[in-house]
Amino acid sequence: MGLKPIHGGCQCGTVRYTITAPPREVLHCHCSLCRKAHGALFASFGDYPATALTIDCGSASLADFQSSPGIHRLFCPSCGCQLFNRIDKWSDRVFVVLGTLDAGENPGHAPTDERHIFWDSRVSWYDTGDDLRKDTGYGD
Amino acid sequence: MATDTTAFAPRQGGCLCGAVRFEITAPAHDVYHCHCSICRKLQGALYPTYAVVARKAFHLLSGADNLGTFDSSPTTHRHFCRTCGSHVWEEVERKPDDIWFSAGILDAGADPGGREGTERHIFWESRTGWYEPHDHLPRFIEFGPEKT
Repeated sequence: MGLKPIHGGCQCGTVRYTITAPPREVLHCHCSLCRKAHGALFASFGDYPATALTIDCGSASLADFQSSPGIHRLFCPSCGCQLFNRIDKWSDRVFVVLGTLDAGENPGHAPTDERHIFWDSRVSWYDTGDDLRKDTGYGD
Repeated sequence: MATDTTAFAPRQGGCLCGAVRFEITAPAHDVYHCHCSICRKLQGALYPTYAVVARKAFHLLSGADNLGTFDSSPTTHRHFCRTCGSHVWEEVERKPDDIWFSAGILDAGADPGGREGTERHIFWESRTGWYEPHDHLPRFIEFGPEKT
């Protein structure tokens, strides 16, 4: 299945990318690591096939922080923007940070393929209030 | 609204890798969920949450020499950890007595305080076209009304 190419990048423009296929699903993650990496109450990812992502510029400059062995959080060292998560055991997938899509673009998923994960780890003082599925941990 | 700062237990936060650590010794006085395109593309979230606290109540405990700074405008300075990329706080020159820290990086999801009557969505008009929270907080164009 194809996708009209969508584009994104970090705020300073060092890193730019294009996506050419839809994601398996969209995940809103509330785990403590994502909260700290993104400085947000949750972080949203598109689980794309690795072949769908082309990094148009800035690839060589990406900083790589391993939050756990084999879990790589790639960010722009100039502006600090988190862009991609790569997981060694799932080398055919890439988790694109959806807040970095240009103009708040739709990531191209089916509306049913969107859920919250690590809902059990969310902050106690804020609830998104939406009707999406909420999974404990990663779910299935 | 009066805030009882005497009852506030100090709380700490920090970046993902732990290099940058801070403590707040008073509750925030404003909490904003920001949907603007700059915040989205700096932190990589659909709407980062900021807690605004008096500068005198914000204490950097470690990591001063590990910070990068990105100026998202000539008068807005965003400080992030160079090792893990976490955005820790920002300074806004027109509000020199305040620190805007990323509320998501308080340890154990702690409440920054000061939410009652201030917690709001800002730059709601800039939100993504595909995800919208359904909480009951007020939603404002840009910052909404200034506090008197």
